[in-house]
Amino acid sequence: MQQWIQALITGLLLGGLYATLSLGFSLTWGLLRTINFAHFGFALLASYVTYELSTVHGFDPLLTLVATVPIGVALSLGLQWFVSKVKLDMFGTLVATFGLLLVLEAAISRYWLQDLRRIPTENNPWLSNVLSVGPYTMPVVQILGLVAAVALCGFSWWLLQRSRAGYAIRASVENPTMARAFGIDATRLGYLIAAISGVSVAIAGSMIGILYALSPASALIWVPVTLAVVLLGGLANPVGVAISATALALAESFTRQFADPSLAQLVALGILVIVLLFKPSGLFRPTVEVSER
Amino acid sequence: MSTDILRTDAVTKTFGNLRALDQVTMSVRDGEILGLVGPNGSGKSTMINVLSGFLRPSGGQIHFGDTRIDTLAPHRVAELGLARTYQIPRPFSTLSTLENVMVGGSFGRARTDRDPRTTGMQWLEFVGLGDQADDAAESLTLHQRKQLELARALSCEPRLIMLDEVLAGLNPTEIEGAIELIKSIRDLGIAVVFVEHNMRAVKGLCDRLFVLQSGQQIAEGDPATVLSDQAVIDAYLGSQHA
Repeated sequence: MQQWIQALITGLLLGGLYATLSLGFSLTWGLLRTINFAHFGFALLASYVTYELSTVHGFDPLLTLVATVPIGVALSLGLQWFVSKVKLDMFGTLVATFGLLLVLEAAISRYWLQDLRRIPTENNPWLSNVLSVGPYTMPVVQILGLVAAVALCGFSWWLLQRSRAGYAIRASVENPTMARAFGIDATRLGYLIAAISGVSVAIAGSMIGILYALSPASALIWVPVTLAVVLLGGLANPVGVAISATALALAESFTRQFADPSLAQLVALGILVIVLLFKPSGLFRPTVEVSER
Repeated sequence: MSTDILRTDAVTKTFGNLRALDQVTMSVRDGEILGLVGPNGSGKSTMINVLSGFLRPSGGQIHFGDTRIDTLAPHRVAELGLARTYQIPRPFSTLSTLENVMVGGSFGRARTDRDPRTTGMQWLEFVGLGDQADDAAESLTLHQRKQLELARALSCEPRLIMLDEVLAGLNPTEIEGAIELIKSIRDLGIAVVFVEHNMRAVKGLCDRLFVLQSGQQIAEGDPATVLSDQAVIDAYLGSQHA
């Protein structure tokens, strides 16, 4: 029983990280029509900046968000500017951002080399800082991550479904020409979405830097689970992202606890394949249904 | 007494070798319903698209009030107070009925301190869609979609609204309702450009008519006179009645 509850807690907390990482990917895909593989490069860069600032300069790893969030936002805005300037279609964005991911990886391995990097425990109070409730343990940084995930997904949901900017965004994604005729400035709204994506990718990246060992190639381990969360959750659907991130993380956590830990990595993709077999549109509706152009 | 709210001077629009509009000079007076009529392919829809800024004229000028608008983007034209509906209603299907109307009331010239939800609701009730406010726009019938188009255009608080075949596809009862609705739009002091094939509605509604044929203006004036004009009869009825 105790094992079950601990696996449940671990899964919920991991879900927070998955949701934070996937939210931006889902928003830019669903609303900006950019399949942004550089997202994983942005996260990796944030992880390394967190590593660098806390290891070399002795900052508290959590404090490095002050640096990584602006970097994430700047990169996302820059990408959005480039994509709208060059007028890439969706497939074009996939190819271009995959290239950008490779460039980022190469740059990172040039500066930080190929070695496995980990913030030393003495510089990283958050790794061992654990909240214990009875027999159960919860890493404090992951609790904060879960709070951030709830805040980001909640804010995005409110923005899209309840705010004035929200129906402007949905309208202009569905029919840009018509939305322009009603005076909606799609460009500014696009930057708003990109900025939210930048904030969430930076928070996710810094958390990864705090929790895991880093190598330049590690950007790619996050791809399968992110794709699974995004496809199951419905494009740009923050609630869908939160729920599918939690579900996949729980499945992974239980697999790790009760079956073979080495299978855990495959669980997300396995669930994705099974769900798509029976429900090809995913579990949740996208925020905007776009007839593919 | 009444002044012109919209004026075109020798507006021409060519597509390759086709002259869709040929030196058309038309004016709409404040607060009137102007019927823009003509056979299929005569350039009515092109005219609406040119006036609303979706197409740039190849020649000539358009003034809306004192502002020259033929060089402006569609959303600038909309902000000045020139709204339109579309022949085939295309609501934003991912938005609710009310949200569709709020789009119009939130961003253009109608942007005010008032709650867009309240004003949006008022326009929905004005066109008779009050009960459908929270329904998804894609669940509406054709008739309701046309009402929604009207509400959305009206929520921009236009001074002139251009209605592109709003009656097409409606049954006789719905047409009666729509005609009353258009009258009440005029009663709000909004000028109307009414593009329509239904001649009974045109006769019953319009203060003046403007007739196009093959991109050229062939008649203009009060409905009775224009519809008895031989050139107009020939254009409409062609050889069958010759």
